[in-house]
Amino acid sequence: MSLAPSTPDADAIPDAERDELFFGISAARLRARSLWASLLLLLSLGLPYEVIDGEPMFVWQLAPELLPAAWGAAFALPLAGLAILVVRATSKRAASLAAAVLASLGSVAVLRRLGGERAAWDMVALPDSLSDRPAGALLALALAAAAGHLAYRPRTRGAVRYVVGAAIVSALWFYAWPGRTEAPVLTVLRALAALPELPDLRFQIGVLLLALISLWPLGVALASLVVLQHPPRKEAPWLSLLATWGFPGLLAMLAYRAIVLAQGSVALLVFLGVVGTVLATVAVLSSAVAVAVESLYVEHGDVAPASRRAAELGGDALDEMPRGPGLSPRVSMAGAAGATLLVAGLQLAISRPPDKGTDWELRPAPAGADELYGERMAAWGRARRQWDFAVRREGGAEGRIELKQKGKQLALAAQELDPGLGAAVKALVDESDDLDLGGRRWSRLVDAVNEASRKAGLPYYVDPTVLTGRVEGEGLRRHFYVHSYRIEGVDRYRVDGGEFATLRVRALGHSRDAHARLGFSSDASPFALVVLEETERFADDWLRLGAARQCTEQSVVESPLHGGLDACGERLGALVDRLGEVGLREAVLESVVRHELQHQIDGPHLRLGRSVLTRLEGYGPELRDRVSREASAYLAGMTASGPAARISLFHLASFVIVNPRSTYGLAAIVVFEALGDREVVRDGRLDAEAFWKLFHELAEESDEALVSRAKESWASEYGAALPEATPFGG
Amino acid sequence: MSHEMRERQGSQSTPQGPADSADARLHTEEPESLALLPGKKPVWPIFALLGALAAAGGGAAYWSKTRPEPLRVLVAVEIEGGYWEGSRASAVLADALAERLEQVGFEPVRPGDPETDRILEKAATPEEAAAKLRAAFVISGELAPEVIEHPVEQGFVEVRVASSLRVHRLGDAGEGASSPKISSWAGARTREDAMRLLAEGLADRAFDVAVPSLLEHPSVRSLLEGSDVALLQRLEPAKRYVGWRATRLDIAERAWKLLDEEHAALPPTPKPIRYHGKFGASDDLVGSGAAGVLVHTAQRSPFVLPRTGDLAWITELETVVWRGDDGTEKALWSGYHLLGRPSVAPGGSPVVLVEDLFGWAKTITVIDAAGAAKRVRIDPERRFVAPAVSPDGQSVALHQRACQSCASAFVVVSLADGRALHEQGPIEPREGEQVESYGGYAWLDAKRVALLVRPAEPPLAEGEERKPVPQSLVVVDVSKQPARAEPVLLLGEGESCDSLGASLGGERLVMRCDAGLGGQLVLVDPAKKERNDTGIEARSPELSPKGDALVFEARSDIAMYGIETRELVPLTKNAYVERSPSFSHDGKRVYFLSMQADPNDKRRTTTVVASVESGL
Repeated sequence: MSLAPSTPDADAIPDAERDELFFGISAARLRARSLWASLLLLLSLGLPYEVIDGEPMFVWQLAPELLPAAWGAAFALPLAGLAILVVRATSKRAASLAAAVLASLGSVAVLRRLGGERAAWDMVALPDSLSDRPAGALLALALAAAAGHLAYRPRTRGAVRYVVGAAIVSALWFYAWPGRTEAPVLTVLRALAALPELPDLRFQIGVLLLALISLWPLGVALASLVVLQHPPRKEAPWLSLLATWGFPGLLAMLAYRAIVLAQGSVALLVFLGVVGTVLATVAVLSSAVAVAVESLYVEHGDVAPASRRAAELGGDALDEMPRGPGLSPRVSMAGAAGATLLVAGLQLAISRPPDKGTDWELRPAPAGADELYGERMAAWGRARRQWDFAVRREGGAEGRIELKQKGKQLALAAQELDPGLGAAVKALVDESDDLDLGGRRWSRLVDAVNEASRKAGLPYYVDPTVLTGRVEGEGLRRHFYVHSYRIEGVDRYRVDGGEFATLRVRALGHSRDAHARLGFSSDASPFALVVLEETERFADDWLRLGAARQCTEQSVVESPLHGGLDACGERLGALVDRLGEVGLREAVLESVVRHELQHQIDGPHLRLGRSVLTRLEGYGPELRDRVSREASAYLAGMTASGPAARISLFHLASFVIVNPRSTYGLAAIVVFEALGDREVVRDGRLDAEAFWKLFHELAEESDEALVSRAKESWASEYGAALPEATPFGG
Repeated sequence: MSHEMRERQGSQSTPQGPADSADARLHTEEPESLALLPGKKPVWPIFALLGALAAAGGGAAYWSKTRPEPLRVLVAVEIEGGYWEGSRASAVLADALAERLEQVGFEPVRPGDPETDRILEKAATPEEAAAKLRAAFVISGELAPEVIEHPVEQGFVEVRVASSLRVHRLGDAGEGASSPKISSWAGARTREDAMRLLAEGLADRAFDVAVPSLLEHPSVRSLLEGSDVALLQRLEPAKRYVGWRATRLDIAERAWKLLDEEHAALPPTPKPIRYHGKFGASDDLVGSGAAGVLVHTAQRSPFVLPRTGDLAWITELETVVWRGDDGTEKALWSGYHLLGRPSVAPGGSPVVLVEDLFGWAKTITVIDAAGAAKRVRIDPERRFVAPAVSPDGQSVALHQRACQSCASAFVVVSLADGRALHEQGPIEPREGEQVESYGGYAWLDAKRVALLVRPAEPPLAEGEERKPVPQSLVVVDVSKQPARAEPVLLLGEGESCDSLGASLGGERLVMRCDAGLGGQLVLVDPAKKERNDTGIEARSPELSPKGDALVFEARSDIAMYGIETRELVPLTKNAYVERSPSFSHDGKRVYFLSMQADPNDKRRTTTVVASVESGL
């Protein structure tokens, strides 16, 4: 009698016992895989959350910065590993363990999906590794692997078609669904189409290899169709091996290459960790699917000695096997599904996007309020920065005393103005006395001050800004700023049933600290701000340029553009003469308000514009996202009014003239090409003649035609009609 | 992946039902050979080993996280409280000292870190806080500055501190701790600003005394003698600083010591010179009395700048002290700055001096025998120069100027209440006005003071040539109101006299007069109104108490002239510069200043009070 793990001959054993035997094999595989896979998933906690400038950031360092919804996403994998480990130790049936594995990994997908979407609205978004959607591809691989095992077993062959079908659907969903960008299969096909244009064979081989890796899950899923016609003859068929080990193996090959070429770095370790996580996920998921399906077909599979933990206990323990059969497969599946739904429901509840709009009612500013918000707040902010800087260098004892003094004065002044405001300011002063202050916490504290101001009807807004920079010898350092504004007006809008708002504000105090912008909007904030003196100054600049018949007073990067500057200057002069100072200021204000409002409406999940996808192919995702959002906002700004559209043309032209390769320059090119429905960049270079020709054509259009063109361009770019913003509330 | 299977043979029994079959299989089916089943391997040894490793690792981590860092220093010096309690002065000192310590390789606990402040607030002692902060060393001290509010318009605050720090390692229990002395002073319009300046001044001094103490500690020495390259490299700046500092200070001390030795080695001819101080000082001779010699000095000690390694000076407050023959000192006064030379009454008391209150005002201050000081006049505008106290100690004669460049007036002020007993000359001069001018003055007795006066030039008629107005020697009797000036001598045309001195009883006067051929000493009998030109070219003449001899400075040496004997006796004859001779109160010794270029500071001259026997 041999105990070697040889594949039993299926025909030599009675059917029921054979099925139970195979179930036992599947169960044992599941138990073994769930042990090492859960450990790998737990260990993923020790991998850097992300790497910034070569410096690893771990999840516990960034935890205070994350939203609760993002916490779920960040800790999903380790928690899943823990859950699997616990269930493995306590479950009596393999089907229960399989259900737990399916529920855990399903919850991971839900948590990451919802958490990533919600986190995108906040200050700290999830890194790409967490927010991208690999679930479909991994599921396809796992289903294909399970199909291989199930196809070997006569009892479960009937279910194989469904499993293979699910694998293919999952793969197709992953490759064909565009999401915010384009469908992955298109990206791969585009890369393959560019093969002949690559410089030499090495690059071509590289692209082919990447294409192989990218399309591996689809290939494996399609290959699983084979088992429908030709059931495998081994318990561990080639399909299952390829599906389980192939993808991680290919990825590991890339890592091996980096090691051999001495390209080791933190990023490489992270990559290896990801490979381990992928392997763990696919392996345990495929086993769980196989056991889950088998448990539905094999009547007594879970209680057969071969499948129970007795196989691990052995010896005298046979007499000590626990009584009771545990949960039946259907009950455990139902329970797992319920748990997943519960997790999903909870995550959904906390993943709602932030509320937009405001009902801020302004009352006259009381005496002392300007000084509080303008001088004292700025003085306290400065004192905090100086203390923060000093304490990390020579010593900040004096700076801290100064900070506490300024904070006390600020809190007292706020208390005199309004008790609620006083409490919020005190909390800001007290809780920001922390060298490890996080950006999110800073924003939360300042938001509380704004909320107190709103409740008290005080017409003031404080904008929190966090700038992150690298300091030699100290790594990343955050600099916290507060910029105070007096609110002169609140404009409320209804857009597609939702509420939005912009605040028209004027800056208080003298310091601008890189805050000199026409307006600004953040996804986490309920409204956008339009800075009146900046828009007025901007309009005055156009007045001055127009009077001088100049299009720009900055250096022009691309010398071929020089030829069109005079004509541009003449057009600007004519526009300025027509609108006059008041009209020009109004036009600038309208376009900026609509621009910022559009940023609020778009949010972080605006799909990439059509032109962005083609024009910026190969650029990084952050840049593409930014260009797309700015293009959307500028196009929307042009629809505010005729004059707004016209001045926007010059504004956008100035970006192209000064630096067409900057973010705003690229956005401007996208806008012009969308408006004109033709290219002005050919072979990577700006065609000055084509650009000026397009510019003048657009400038010749009537106000109404230009506005209409902007609306149509937006719709064409983003695949939907431009949302209409209806003012309300007076 | 292996699968454990049990082979079953001949198991043909038919189950009666699903549940029964399940239970039946539980209880009835046994493997034929239990030996084929893999034995249960005990796992507890693995867990025990893992547990032991975890405990060891945890223990090591705990020890590593809680043991004191060998180079970490907690600066917890209180100046009217600690910085964690809101004392700005303490904060300024802590920040500056921490910065300097870090520059030389130590790891100061960051002052201003909220966590540090919280620990210090809760701790009962700096040592308790240091333990929690894992600092191996503590620099602590409780400095309680003396605060003096000067009666100046708009206010002025002077702060002084002289105390000691404590530099020790945790766990030393008193042994190995050092308590270096530290002192400083500062002044400003407000108390807060004054404290801040004080703290800034203390920082370099604290560093100067703390770093050697730290480096000399056995624990740090063992690190320096060890093989930890990283630590050695880290402490290299400190080591270099201390080494350089010791060398530099040693050089300075040896240079001064050499001067002392050179002077001590002078041959005892013409007379043996006794030095009443050490070279390196900046002593000025005020006078003498039964208690010894009255010296105006400013303690000056060298220290090495941490950043540049240059020798710099810590100048303490100026002091007026009685210095006995055995070198013991009794301090009479200390302050920011004195204008000119103080004056002492013949009996040794009172002492009158002109204080400069940090440039904001000048005072006439009188100090009695007990050392109590009283400011009889405080003036933010006028300057008081060259006080001369009357023999009975009741009044003082001095120059008074309305501004730094204005002409002087001559005033006599009561030391009881500051009232002007006599004022003469341009009290409030107008620009361009021709005024009377004054040379020296000397008291003849408690009420009469001799004065050299040059009247104002008369207005010139058109075409008239300006002629020099001759000086005259007058005696002013301040007991009369108004005071009367009695002419004694009309000096020659073109003759300019100064350095007026009188014998103790007023019987004789001496002055130095220059008629264009060099200054010569002239004796005057004020009663007879007669002058006696000695023909001696000299400077700084002083009459003996009895008036029978005079001492003077001639070509950087001191000599004495017997007025009756007409004998000229050299008192010193050497290569050094000796000046400002004066007789002791009993006439038995002649005190003078011995001056020398400071070998450690080219811009400075070091002066020491010396004396010889007069032979009278």
